[in-house]
Amino acid sequence: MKSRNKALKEHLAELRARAITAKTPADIDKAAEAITSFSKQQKYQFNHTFAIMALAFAGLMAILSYWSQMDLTYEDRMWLRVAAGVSAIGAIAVIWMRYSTVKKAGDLLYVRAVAIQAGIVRDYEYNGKEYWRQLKALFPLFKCGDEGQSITKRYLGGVDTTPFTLFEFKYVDVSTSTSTDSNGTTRTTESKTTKYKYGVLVQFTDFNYLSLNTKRFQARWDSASRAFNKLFKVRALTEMHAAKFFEPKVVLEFTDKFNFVKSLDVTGDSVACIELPKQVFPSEVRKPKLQETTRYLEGIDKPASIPILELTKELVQFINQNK
Amino acid sequence: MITSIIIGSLIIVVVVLYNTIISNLNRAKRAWSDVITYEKLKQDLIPQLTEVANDFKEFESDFIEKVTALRESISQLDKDDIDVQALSTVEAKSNALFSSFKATAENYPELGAKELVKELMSEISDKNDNVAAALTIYNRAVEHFNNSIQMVPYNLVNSTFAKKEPLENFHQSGTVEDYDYKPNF
Repeated sequence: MKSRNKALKEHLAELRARAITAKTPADIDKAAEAITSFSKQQKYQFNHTFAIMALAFAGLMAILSYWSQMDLTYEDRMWLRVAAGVSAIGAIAVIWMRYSTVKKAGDLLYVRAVAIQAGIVRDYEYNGKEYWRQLKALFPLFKCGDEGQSITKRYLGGVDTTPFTLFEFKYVDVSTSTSTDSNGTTRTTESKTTKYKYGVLVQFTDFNYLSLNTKRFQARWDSASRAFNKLFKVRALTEMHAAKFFEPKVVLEFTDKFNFVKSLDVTGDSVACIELPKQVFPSEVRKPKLQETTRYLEGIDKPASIPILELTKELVQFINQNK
Repeated sequence: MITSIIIGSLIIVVVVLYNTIISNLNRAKRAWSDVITYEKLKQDLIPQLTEVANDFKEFESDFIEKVTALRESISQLDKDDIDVQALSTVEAKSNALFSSFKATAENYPELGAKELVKELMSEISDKNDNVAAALTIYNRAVEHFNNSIQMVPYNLVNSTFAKKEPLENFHQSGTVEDYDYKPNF
């Protein structure tokens, strides 16, 4: 007979494996069956008996260390407090890590269900650093950051016959500041901030003459719409290219519907890089808790859609129709 | 010293406000010019519409007259003169003509299946979409310009220096009048 904690650990490992390998709704259904079967045996909660005992013991030690009637030296009291603190922190950390393990496994599977429903597949077959170097040679968007640049996540998808890659680009900005104290000692402090950018790379055909909010081309163009001009700085191969593409109906669609686009850049080979808000990523959707099994199962049966991704697909179709 | 700083600041503020009014007016004029450009592009369809009407008896006898009336009214539109009434007349004629064309094509499936008719329907739809979008952009530009001459402190600069009149929004005749509800503003 397996212990409750061991059974849950093994089941969570199985769920993680299923989430990583899932490619179709049928794979998600199989994972849902495994959850249903497991939930009949036990809850998605670890047995915290020892951790709770450690917490209680820590509490007792803390009380004793402050109890004046106890015949203890100052050093003993300090040691008791330190031991109580370490025990309490250890117990809380164990409880939190176990809770986090359940949450992460549930989130991983749910995010995979969301991605499958959105028609995108997580791709692990690439080197994040090497891929970033390739993209850096193509698009200025990937030139930012001082260190740690990498494409950390990648999903593959398509709209009609147009393939696209959804990416998460991670980079670190390093800034140094110098300060001098009253003694004249100069100190240099370095601070690092990790940042992310999100977007899609789309392989169009014959769409290599226009960019939005990037400076790839020389010719500038603006529309009669003030709202559009505030959102997008258009540059094109020639003004004529921009004027032909941005018919009034296109300007209006970009202003009212596709205003979430942060930038659009294209190479000579019609590969477009469209920078998007982080909400385009499946991991950004609100996730149900695995601990609330019934609601969770309903969630993976009908996963949430990603509105920004759906609009991005419409944008790709729209560009194909109007280029 | 302080007086000259105040006067200088005031002059700068007036110049900025004045330039904003003029740039908003110019944007509205450009938006109007786009509307007329796309409205005039409808003239490209007229030879094909005439050809189709001559080749197929299914079209009503007055269809050619409607085509001619539309051509004449489009030719009267002027890019430099914002005349919402004239545009409204053209849009009414254009809608009547295209609706008649669409209705005939739908009533006679054999006619609707012809490649030329399909292409024309698609082009009509495309041109109408562009005119509708251009009108939306024009109306937004007009709203922005009107705000910029009626709101404080722009209205002071306008009444003293720029002296521009509010522009008229475009609305399709028949779209508002059909509703019983009337806003109380």
